[in-house]
Amino acid sequence: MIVRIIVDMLFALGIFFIFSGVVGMIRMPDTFCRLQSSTNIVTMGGLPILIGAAIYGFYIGNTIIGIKSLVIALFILLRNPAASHALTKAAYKSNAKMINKDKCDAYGRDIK
Amino acid sequence: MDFIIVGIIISLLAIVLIYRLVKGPHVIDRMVASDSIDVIIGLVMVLYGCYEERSLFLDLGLIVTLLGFIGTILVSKYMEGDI
Repeated sequence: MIVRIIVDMLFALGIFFIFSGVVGMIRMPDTFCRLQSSTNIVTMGGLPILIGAAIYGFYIGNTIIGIKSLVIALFILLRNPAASHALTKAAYKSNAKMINKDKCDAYGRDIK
Repeated sequence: MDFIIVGIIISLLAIVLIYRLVKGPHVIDRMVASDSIDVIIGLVMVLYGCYEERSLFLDLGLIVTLLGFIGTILVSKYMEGDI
């Protein structure tokens, strides 16, 4: 019973963060703001769901589900910053539209 | 534990992301949306594997996430001008 409450709370947390990330990706005005919302979806939305699945797998005695869920969680934790960094650098190098570029452009100042 | 309900809600949120995939004004917008949809498909496969209590679907989720990562890195390197 207590395991069910914990797993459902983790799933609710993941659904909340995925929902807020989707709202940010629809309504943000800029490419870089949308990239920030995308990392919100993957990291904080994906990790609680995978940890909940791992807890459920260890609880019902199916150890393979638990271990594979933890492996997928570790891989997502490693892959998401690399992909977001590459996408952000590509967006800057290919002249994506940036709102208020004259106010704050520290990366463009550094690479000159 | 309602894996099917959670999977349906996440799938509906992924369908909402198709709007940004179609409309996005830049290539990176479309790539970000497709990357997020890819990770969400992996999560749905993990949830379905927990529902069926069969660990085959978790391998499928890992493979889908890995191939999405490779595609994202490839497209971003191409847009950056290295390839």
